[in-house]
Amino acid sequence: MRNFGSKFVFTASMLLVLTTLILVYESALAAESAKPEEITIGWLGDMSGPVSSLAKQHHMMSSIYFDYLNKQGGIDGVKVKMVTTDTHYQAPRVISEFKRLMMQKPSPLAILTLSSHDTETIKDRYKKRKVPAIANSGSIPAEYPPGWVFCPWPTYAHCACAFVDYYLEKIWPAKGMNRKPRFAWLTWDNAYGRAPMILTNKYIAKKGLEVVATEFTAIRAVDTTAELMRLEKAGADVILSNINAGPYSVIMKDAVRLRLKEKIDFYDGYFGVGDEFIDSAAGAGEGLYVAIPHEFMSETSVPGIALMDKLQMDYHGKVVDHMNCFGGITGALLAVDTIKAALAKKGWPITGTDVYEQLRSLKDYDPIGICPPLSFGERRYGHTKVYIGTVKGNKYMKVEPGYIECPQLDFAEHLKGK
Amino acid sequence: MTLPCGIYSTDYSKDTFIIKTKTQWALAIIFIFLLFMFPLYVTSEYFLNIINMACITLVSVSGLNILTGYCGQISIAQSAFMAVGAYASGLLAVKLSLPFWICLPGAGLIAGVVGLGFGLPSLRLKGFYLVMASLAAQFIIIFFAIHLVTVTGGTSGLKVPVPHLSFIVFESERSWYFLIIIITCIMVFISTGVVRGKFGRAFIAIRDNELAAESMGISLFHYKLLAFFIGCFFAGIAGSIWAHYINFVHPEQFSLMDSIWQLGMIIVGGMGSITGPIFGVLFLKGLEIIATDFFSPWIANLFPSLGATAPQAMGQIVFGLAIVSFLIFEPRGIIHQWKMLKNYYQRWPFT
Repeated sequence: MRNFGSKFVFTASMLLVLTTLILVYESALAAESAKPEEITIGWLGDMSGPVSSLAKQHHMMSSIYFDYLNKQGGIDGVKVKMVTTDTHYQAPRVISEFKRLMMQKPSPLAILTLSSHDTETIKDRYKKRKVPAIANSGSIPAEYPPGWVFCPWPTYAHCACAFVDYYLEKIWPAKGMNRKPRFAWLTWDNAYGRAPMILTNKYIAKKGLEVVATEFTAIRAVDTTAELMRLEKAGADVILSNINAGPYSVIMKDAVRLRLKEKIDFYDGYFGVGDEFIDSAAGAGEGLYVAIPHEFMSETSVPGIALMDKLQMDYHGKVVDHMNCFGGITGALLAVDTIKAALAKKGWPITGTDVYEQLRSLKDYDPIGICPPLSFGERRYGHTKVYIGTVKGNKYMKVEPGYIECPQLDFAEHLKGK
Repeated sequence: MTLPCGIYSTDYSKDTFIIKTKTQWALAIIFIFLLFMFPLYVTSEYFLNIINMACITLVSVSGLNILTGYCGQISIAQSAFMAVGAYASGLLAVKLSLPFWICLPGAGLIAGVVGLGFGLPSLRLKGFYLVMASLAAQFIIIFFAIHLVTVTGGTSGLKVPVPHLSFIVFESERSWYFLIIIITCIMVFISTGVVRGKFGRAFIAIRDNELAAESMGISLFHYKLLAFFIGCFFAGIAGSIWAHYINFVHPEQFSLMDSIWQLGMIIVGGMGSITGPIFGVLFLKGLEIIATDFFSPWIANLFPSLGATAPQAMGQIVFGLAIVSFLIFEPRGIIHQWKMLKNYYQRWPFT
């Protein structure tokens, strides 16, 4: 009897401790005042997984911009708090980290994010929770049908098609060949690598040209000799890719070794731009074509580029040239300026819906010259202009002095598949 | 459950019961009551989401436990079979407009049948070689998911509708909690029934000594394939719930690392027991939360000059170190420590 009583007391006290711990974990609801003490902007990305080397550039640029903004007084005297979450490139983590962001007090007014995988996984949840996302991802499924995900840049397919136009107009005629060029793909076998393929292939076919071969390579491939030789055997004149900067250097080094660069031109999407490509390729990257939807880092006369230079030097003592740095600061500028616009329209308190309405109605917004003016409306990409660039003397240079216009694309065709 | 000291079963049928005494019935009812009362007190969507994901993983890991823990057939393709279930369920819902209640068992059956095909090598392969064969299954299934664009949507993914039961639409974390917890309890109960019966004894015999099992009249062909079917059926059920919960199926959601983590969960929890996967899932999910929500921000606050990447990476390092330490100091799994704690509690103060 004594033992049973002691056991009962022990069991009951264990249950009580467990219940208390669970209840204590719950955070208290706080009433939101008209003018908040701070604004929350969420940052959702892969900080420790396979694309963390890219995400950290985006995070770095966003966070130092918000820090700079806060030192200048924030937005209407209210500081901006950037809450960072790590998705680890896993769908369950994307959802749970998104929910963790939505638990923040005050609720986020916008979420900066990147990577096609993360954005596509929770696209509908942004609409459900009434918070817009500004994504650094040119993924069509994330942007179409139009939802609450906005991307400043044209899609990967827009950029590839713009390069096809430029290639046909300027590069191929200069070769003096008496036939049509033959295109081929060498890209990653995942959502990001395949993103531009469907619409670009249809565009190429519409021009009366053909894609002679398609090869896929692993994300961390250390050798692409077999793929390149098969593409050479198929008669490819230009190889299109949508691969990140660092891993793409493997392809260029193999191309040099196989002496393919004399006969074949290479193109990579805008995430192929970065210091890590120049460093890893070690000279093999010369002549690579890229389509870049923003100004070049060398254009320091542009106010936005000068600001990026200054912020990176002040905070880190060096300047990193990476597509995601542009994405980070452009996303941060978009978030801040649309919040300011919403504030000017209706005053405090403002919600994610107010920011969404401002983003949706954005027309000819100039992010201090970093890229062409952004307009959304019914579409979810900000502009459709790119620079065609090339690597020359271990630097990215513009081939043409001005932007070229991307062709109009029907996103519904992408969803139909091949 | 074991009987308290001094209480005996008086006939065979009573001995086969899972819950044998009135006290055990009372505890079981209180536990189920607390399980269902839980979301009324815990309203945090983040916490409920973690629980829901853990339960979905538990269903899949329970199936893997039957295949690997009880039958000894090592498989690192459980995530791929979840993908089969997810796509099957999504396609049944989208293309045939079937309700979730039909898609769920349908997905399980389809995944089970696919598992039978990949289980055929198990008849000739063992150990490391069977692992390689299951590795092939992981890559082949995901390859088909990417390349059958007209069926699966390829890398654009597949949108899956939200399930509903007359006027109840399962959209909030709380509504999903109730649905997932019921399905999880049923699947754990089924796995208990499987391992306590004729099949479970055959699986254990095959795991311990295939030759002796065959000489006793246990058909290796029949029971190994059955183990694969059951393991993949559970994975298919988990995949179906996953697809409708996330509302979006994509090949990148079912990676090799996820399969390896599921295998890790049954190793950490304790193979060859029903509660082992429960402990394994709770331990690893809990460790992930501690590393992400507490340890990483603590490091970031302590050393602000590190930026944001290093603390996140340190969280992962701590996660890995905890698992390695666990495997060194308790290789029999958490279930062994739980049994020791139970024995101590039951025999107190005589221990």
